[in-house]
Amino acid sequence: MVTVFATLGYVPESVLPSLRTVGVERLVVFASAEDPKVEAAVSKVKDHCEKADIPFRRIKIVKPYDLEYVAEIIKETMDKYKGEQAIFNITGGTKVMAAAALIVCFLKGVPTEYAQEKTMEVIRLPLMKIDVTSQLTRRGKDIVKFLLTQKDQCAQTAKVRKALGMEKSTFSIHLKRLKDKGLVTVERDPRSSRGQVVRAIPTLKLLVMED
Amino acid sequence: MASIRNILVSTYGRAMRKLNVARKHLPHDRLVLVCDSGDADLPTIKQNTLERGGEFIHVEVDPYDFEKCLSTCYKTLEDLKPLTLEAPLPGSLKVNISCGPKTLVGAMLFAAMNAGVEVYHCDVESATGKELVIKLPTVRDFEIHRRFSSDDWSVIEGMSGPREVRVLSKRTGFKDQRLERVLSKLEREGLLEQTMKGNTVWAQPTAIGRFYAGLAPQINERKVNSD
Repeated sequence: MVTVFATLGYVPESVLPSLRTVGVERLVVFASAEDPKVEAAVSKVKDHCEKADIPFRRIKIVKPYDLEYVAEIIKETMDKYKGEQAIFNITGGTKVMAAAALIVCFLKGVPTEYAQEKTMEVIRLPLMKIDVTSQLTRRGKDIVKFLLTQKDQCAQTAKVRKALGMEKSTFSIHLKRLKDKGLVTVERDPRSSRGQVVRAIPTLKLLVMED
Repeated sequence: MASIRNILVSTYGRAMRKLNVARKHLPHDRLVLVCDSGDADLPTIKQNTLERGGEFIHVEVDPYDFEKCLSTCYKTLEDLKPLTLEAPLPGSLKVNISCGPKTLVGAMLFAAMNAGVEVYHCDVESATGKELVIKLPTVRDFEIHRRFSSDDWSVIEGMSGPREVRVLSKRTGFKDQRLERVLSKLEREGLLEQTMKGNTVWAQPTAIGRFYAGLAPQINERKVNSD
């Protein structure tokens, strides 16, 4: 059984080809809120699902041009169906929504498909997986986890090191690795002349998937 | 010829407005458009770029052929990377994915993430007309050649088509357990699928697997040079 996820814009037909997949268990669509044309498309898809007896769920995307926000919503929603076979139709919606969906699918290893605009022929994109988490050391993961619990995902380096009980030299090595990978930045602490603060990049939570 | 410092690579497909946002906000001396050769806007974009004193290159691709899009995009980025390093001052290589069908966009995004190149989505918000320049998450140090071990690459290299696992074992010289470990990893990464035909186990590369197999010789060369 397959859960079909899809971004949806103005064209309801963009989602329908994915429902022809054998054993579709449910359809979850991500569609912008408060756009009458999108609402009309959502209604049509919902009607189609009711007739075909496929459970339908719609997730409202309030900020369809905010990549981080959209990706977080997609990731959180997909997490709820973890362990189930999934496929993501990226045809509809804004390109930002499609890009967000693609990134989440790369990180989760979920296959994607696209219905060609004119013919609605489905082009299945191969599984494209980029596993950032597995490339981190255990210590690196500890630093990341700690930062994600902090306000603004930012903390004094000394505070992080002490909280994780790491030696200065060990901490420096792991912090540098995270910095080299572009996952954190280290800046001078504005509140102290000698201290530094380490800040996670805004998309760190998205990139580092939980096991 | 003056050295090229900043290069903008963009997917394209009848979306001049979006491309113009990218051109305005992502400074460049060379514009590389990856798209169908039949696009009617190409001559205008070329002329406009040359008038501004920039260079223009068109990389032709069938935007609906995902596999070809992926290898073309990756090769384009890898070929361009050294140019920004050769300049007297460090330059930049940026990718815009706001134009063209989503098959091409998906291929370019994946290629850029594998090549460790910055990706942007430049758009115009339909309700407000506001220009948007969105930087997508970039992860450095996760480039293809770092993601797989020498053992992995030895197996990937010979995977342009389906192979009997027994034949792979013979070619690589790996014992069963070692080969099984590598094949399981490659299967998890979506590079191949293992199937049984009669009593024989076959390893069948996926489209991504074939893409990586095509890159294996140059990756191996890079690994040897960096060792």
